[in-house]
Amino acid sequence: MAPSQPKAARLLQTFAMPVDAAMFSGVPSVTALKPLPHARVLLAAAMDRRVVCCELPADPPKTPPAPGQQPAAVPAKHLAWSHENWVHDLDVHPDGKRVATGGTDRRIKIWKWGQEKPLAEFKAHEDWVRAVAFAPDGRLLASAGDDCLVRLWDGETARPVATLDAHGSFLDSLAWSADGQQLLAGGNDGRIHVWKVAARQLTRSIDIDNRRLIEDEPLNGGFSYPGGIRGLTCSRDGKLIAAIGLTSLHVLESASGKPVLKQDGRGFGVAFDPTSRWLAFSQEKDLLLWDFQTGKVGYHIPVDQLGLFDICFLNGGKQLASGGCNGKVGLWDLTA
Amino acid sequence: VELKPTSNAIVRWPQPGNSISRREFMARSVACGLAATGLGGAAVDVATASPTVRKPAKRVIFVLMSGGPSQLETFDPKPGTPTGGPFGAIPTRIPGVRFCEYLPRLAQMTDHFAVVRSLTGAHPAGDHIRDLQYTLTGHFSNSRFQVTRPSFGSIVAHELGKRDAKLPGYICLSPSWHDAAFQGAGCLGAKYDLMKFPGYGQVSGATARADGVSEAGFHARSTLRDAVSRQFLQGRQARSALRYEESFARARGLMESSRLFDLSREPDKVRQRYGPTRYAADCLTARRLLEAGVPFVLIQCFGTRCDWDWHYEAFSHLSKYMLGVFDHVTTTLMEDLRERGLWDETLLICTGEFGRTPAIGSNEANGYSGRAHYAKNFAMLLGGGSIRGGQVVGTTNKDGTEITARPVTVADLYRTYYPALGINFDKKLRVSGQPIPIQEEGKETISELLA
Repeated sequence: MAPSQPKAARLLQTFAMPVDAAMFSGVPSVTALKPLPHARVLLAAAMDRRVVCCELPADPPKTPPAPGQQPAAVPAKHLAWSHENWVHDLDVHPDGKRVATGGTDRRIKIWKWGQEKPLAEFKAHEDWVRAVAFAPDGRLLASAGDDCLVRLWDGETARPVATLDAHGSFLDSLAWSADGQQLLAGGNDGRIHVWKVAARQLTRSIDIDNRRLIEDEPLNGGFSYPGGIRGLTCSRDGKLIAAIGLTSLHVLESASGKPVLKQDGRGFGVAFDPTSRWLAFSQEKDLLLWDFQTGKVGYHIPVDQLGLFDICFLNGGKQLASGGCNGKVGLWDLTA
Repeated sequence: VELKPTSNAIVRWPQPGNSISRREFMARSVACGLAATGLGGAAVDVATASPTVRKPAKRVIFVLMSGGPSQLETFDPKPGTPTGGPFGAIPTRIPGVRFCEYLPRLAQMTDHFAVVRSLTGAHPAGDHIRDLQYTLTGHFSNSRFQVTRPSFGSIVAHELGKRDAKLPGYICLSPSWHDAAFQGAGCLGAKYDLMKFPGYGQVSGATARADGVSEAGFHARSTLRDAVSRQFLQGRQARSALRYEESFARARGLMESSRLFDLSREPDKVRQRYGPTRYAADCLTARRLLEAGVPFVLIQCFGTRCDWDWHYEAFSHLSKYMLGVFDHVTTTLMEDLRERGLWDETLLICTGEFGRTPAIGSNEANGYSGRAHYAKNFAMLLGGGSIRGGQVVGTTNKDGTEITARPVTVADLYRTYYPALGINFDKKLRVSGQPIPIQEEGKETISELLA
């Protein structure tokens, strides 16, 4: 029997980032994506200093594109939510109403869906804010920055709660364990730092060696920015950790840190589906879905675009969204 | 050894697959001398005078920011505008002038150097090779002359180098594999060609004694060779024979000068002050070479992630690495030269071959989260010597897409560099009877830059 080939997902919709010449010259990259299910929208953080809203089509779509047909790009819409500079990351509170954004202006802003002004805003780091992530119970908001710190904020009041300082390198990514007990941070040094949040204690550092070396500068510490881990996520069942970065994707057992999967290739975005069966990740110019049930790549989506900065599952894992440097968000159907 | 002199040969640093033995190194150096004999001595005419300065500089450090630094992320920031990128801007000591937020030390030293914000290159879209030629020579065409014109470094070596110097007058510190003829002496002859070293404090194996030859043995061989040579020269005072001897002296001078590249000879606190980077090592080496009498040092920022040609993820790399290194090391070099009394005698130039596009890239061809090449307007820094610091020449519009005042070409800069060094740019180098002007292109000297 011939080995099964990866399936090709159907492109349901493409959203084009709105171009506002008064705000940004060029095509703004999408830096982060998160769905807001109750509003049936997908939020995108963009280089043009604003948050963009993609209105999701009905499920199932009323007029799905014919096989092989590329759907016309639908313009996404700017929200009034903005930073003084690039918005690097966003996350949706588990209550589905509040959204945190962080950017190169060193600030975090908390927004409420339907309101134009932020509920709160504050200087969060001494350098760029690279990642924001609400705890699964919503009580804490974590942020990571180029000041090499992880900071914890009260999820309700946005007051500072704690600073976790043991990283020594620029941080790009954060992920909460499913039970909210652990917080993982990854960055330039290619290490996953695992924090026991209640005790504010660093329990493990897992070196997955994803650094960007400066071969010409051995005296300068050997590696430069940007490198290391660019995306980090924990499976919903609590069993796996996935980290992706400059050179490869690594999947590890949460409990032991034992390697489960390694795929070579540059990547930025990585996400588990809600069932923990699928792991979606960007690799060079492709979008791949690893099926842990079969131990194979289940979907191979040739996107033909470097710099897919973020991906996320929607609709209970039936759809996948991807966004990156070409200023477009793709919505893929995984049910075919 | 068969000697094959060429008029624009560059003595290459040994690279894998391009290694040269000490013997070959000596032979090439001798070839340089022979090549120079074909020039008839590069005699000069003096035509109309270019501007003169009260105290011209005697030497040059030329920092070639290879690949093209972004003017918007260095000396002409436009924060908050559509082209502004993710960085902020900070005040400098010049009222109303702001630099990129990642250049805090330079921002506090603006009294000592000038910035040109309205520089324009030869090719609006930027072309590495052709714009590099323009940047290193001041001209972008050889068409008027049937010879390869000399680079800036070679002309400075010719004009300011001492006749009896034991060291080359033009040393390049660069790990680049790229050797273009326009970087060299061209028709001036190999005596004024660049001598290329890999930088980062590395010394040339070719400048060391061969394995198995003791210092005493080497001295004995040299003494014997000198004796034979003196005998040969008796009654032969021809220029060619003298140049041959000069070449041996220069090659020997280089062999004796490998200590100049050995940065462990610098006190720890000096090395720590510069820092551990390649650019730091090259700036410190350049200072040592200047002190030893080398009139022109070219530092080429090149290598793995050490150049400025960042199309992808440029802003992360710039903010977390390149700009910090450039800011720290360049200001350290300025301070070091000032403390040693060398600043007023040294012309420091920091420039790329072009700048970066105001629009931010969004695809593989044009860069993602980065900017593409752009020579329509870009910025550079110069200071030391007779350069009047504390000023910015030229302005651009609010988005940085157009020059709005005082447009300056690279050739105009050359009409400023030469007078700053006391060199008459109207002077003509006579090569095989043909007068080759030192600087023909360009409309005017940027007179406000000269003290």
